[in-house]
Amino acid sequence: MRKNTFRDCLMIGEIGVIGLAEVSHLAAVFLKLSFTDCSRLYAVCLGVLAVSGIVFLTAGRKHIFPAFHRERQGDFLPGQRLLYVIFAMTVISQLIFIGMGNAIYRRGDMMAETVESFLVSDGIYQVNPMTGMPYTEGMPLRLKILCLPTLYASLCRWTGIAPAVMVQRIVPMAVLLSSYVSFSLLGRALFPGEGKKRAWFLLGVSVLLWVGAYRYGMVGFGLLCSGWQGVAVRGGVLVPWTLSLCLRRRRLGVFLCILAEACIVWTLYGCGVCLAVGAGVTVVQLLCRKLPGTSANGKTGHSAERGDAT
Amino acid sequence: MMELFRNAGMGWADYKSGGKMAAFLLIALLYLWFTGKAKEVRVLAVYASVSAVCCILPLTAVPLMLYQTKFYDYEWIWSLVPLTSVTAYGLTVFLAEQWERKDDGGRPRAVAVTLLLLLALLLGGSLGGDAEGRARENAERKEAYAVAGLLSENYPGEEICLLAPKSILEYVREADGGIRLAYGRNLWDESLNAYAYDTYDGKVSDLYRWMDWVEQSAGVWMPEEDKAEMFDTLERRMEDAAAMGVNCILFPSGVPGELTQHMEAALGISARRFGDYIVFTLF
Repeated sequence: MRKNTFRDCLMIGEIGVIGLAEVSHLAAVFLKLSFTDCSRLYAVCLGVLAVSGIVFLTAGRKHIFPAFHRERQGDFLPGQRLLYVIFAMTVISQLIFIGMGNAIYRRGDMMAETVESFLVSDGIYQVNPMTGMPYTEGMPLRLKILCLPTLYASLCRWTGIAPAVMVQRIVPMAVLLSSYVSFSLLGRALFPGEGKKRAWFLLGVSVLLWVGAYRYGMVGFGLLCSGWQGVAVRGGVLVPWTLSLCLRRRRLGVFLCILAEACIVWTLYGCGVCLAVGAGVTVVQLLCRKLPGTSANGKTGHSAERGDAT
Repeated sequence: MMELFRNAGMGWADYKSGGKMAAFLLIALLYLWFTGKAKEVRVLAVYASVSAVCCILPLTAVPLMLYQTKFYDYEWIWSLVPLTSVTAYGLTVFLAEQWERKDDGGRPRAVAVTLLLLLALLLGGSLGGDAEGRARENAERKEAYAVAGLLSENYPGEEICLLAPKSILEYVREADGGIRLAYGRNLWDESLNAYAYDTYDGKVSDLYRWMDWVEQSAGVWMPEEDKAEMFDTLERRMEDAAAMGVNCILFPSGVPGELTQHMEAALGISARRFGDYIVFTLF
């Protein structure tokens, strides 16, 4: 568990995609580049990331892929396969729900209009997305430097897909799947060596996402009704991964999550949730270390023996 | 500061109503602590318990709201609590134990417990939600997209600045970024005003209220004094609209014929039928 798994690499790649979007976006905002130039710059950066990723995966395949293959080909316990089938059906039902777009929640959000404005005006925040008129007084700088509109607009430019479809349907589907990757990593940290319980955990998460879709602010609601928003990515992807990283004592990854959150969520001038979660869990870990019968990561000696991160 | 305390107190009351995710978390935590299973994941259990208590108690919820710079509502401090993760962990441990038990009925009992738990979970959400409201919103969205498509199709190359009923303006900018508006949906969805320092002046508010009257006049009934004021202020509102750059005005087709005639006279143009709408174009 100390080494990066393939799913960790996926998460790092995703944060890399966000980071490069931020670089391109900042370049466009401060150098006053057109959106076309910005998306070209982003495409080049993504190309470099893709090549680096392939090189990294090839070089580290002995560490990354053997674990991946062992896990996939390992013997399923009785019932485990059934649990994964039910889990897959739940996920598919959620993907269909998002794809139908019947419960899109856009109150207080203007992502689709912003992306549309970027594409039409060929500039970053050249016009007010609400009216299409030039800004008279401007906008907050902290908001202006968030990169998701550039990321989504670039995807629209490259694929030719309409912004509303990309933002409100395709992106939320990708975010939902990323979220399950993130929760599966948390499941690995919580149930090391217990494949069946990990299957139960993922199934539980998928049911709870449905259950939590009743109100704004819930992780389930964010992922199923407004999955393009930075707060949905944070709640569904970054925070579970942060927890998983903290439980595995991988602080560098937590730092990446904090940076990613700063790039995608308008925390105003605050420090964000990932930092608070990371700090909170670390403090509890330090306190638990002093408790009798508890291993360094806060698990009992018994669970630590089963191969957890120590 | 007192307002923050009030928000924190009322926020919790609001947060636990509607659905039962917070209750499920507390049940999961109680189960984990009282059965000794929290020891297995002491760090996560302690962190989740402390953060949940901090969010519930106003005294500790207020510093958390200050941490998020008072910008976001109360419910967002719950982002700090691994609600889904811990509840799913509790569920997993409980269900795995049920399925591993060989006594007390074995598998049929485990199936029954699992189904009952699933039912309880689903009832703790809001199955279906506001289906009627969603259907209405989707119909409005479809209508707005159709109107945006018709405008681009009928007036290619024109830089349209649109004045239309609220339900059209709500979606038209996401349907076609080339269509400009005298005012956008941040006029009625005020949380969107945080995204820009721009503000609307009194003339825009007057125009918005006037369009609201126009929509009402297409309906079954509207107060006579509003109707009279709508006619009295028509020319002034059209002057304001022209000054804002509006060059395309859409009315619902059900507006009184008298209103259409007044508009034609004020603008010096003829109205045109446009599906379920009447359009006045100034280009």
